[in-house]
Amino acid sequence: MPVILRYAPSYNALAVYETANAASPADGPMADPKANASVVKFHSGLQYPTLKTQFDAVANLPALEGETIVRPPTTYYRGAYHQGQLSLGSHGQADVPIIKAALVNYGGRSLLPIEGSLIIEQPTGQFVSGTPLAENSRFFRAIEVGIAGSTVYLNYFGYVPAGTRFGGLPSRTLTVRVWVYDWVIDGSPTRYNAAQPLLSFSPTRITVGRGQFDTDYSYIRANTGNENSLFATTATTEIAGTSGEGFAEANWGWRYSVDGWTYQGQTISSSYAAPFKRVKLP
Amino acid sequence: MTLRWQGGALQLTRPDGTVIFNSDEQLFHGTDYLTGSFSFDAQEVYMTGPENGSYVNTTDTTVLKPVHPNATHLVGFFRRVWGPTSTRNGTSTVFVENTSTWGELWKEISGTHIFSTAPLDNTRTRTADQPVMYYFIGSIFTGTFTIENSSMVFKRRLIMRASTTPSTASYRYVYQPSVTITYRALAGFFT
Repeated sequence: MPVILRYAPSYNALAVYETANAASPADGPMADPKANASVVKFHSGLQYPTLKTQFDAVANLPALEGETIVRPPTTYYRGAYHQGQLSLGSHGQADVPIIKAALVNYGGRSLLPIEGSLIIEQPTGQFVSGTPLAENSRFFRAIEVGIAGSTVYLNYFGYVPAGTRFGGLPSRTLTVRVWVYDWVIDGSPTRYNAAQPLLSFSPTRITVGRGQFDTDYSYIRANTGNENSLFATTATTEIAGTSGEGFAEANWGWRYSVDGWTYQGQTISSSYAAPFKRVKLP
Repeated sequence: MTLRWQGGALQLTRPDGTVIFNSDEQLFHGTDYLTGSFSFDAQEVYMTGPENGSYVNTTDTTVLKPVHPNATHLVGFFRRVWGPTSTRNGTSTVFVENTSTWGELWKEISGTHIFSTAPLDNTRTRTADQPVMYYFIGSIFTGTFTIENSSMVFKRRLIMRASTTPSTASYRYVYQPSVTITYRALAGFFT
């Protein structure tokens, strides 16, 4: 079907949509774009999160080794859990914005999207003898992205297992790319300005929808053939099995799997792979 | 700045060639603002000896808010505030979870988040002063915000299991504090 660009004063809207007859276009997409989503490509009444800024930040994760607990006559080499947060910079918005993030050049990926608690590695600790611990495969280190006030943080947490003394989890320097969208999640798009026209052309700039869509900014795109990130649709981690009881060891397992980035641990027989939508971020 | 039809598609490009809009592509737009909070009660499991104990194995879904029938994805943040921890018979809570200093932290909402974990030591014969070792992950609480049947939902997976303890020692507990989760999200879809 042909694609038309149409301004309709009766709907106070400008839209781009497919219609069977361009000479006599359907009104439905103008009147109710959400109900005609299959043909609407753009509508000035819809709300498009706008990229405000993006930046790369360096985060230094500390090394983690196990504890040594001396209780004579026995010395125990116990595992350990650690957690913390590292500042990545300011998001610059007045309240809670939309943020997406990815690791840059990590694990063979030019961009590794941080969706949920992203498992980035498993321990490699050894006994004093140099023998790798079997428990390594049960534990992990994960990262997440958060904000507190105006600061964007990288959260990290992870385990090394019992017996670890050497090289449980090494220190790591991560580069994190952060995209900040100019939209406070309170129902008020900050780009909207009722005083602006529905459509404005200048030699260097076009704005549509009273400033909501602006060629000086970038948007979340898909189906471009040049996607560089993704949005998970639902769960990124599966917990399979049961807790068990009594003496039995844990008979459940965890599996993080998104777009081929997979880690799993403990007892699990799952091929779970998270559904997602590929997107193009600037 | 160029607005043109090319190959049947309407394209908007900057002078440097950067595509801002192409009608053959898709753009994400929001349909529903979603704010609110919900809570889960505290839970506890314990071992009464080296062979016996209680456990939790829960999978449930909390329906939060209706969304547009076409909405497929969520962006935004959530945060959690934990209730008080607990001690029992002089044995500290061993459930390892993110500390209260993270209570004011908003976390990006996509995917599955690991809310808390605890190690498991299933040593059958142990001395009274032997510390709990980290042989397994015994307990885990994960949560996923997603869209199902035109609603924003929270899917919880909770497994809890305590470590073994000598029969002469106090019960060893794993205690999952209550938690209140607050969310601020935007549902939407690609057109």
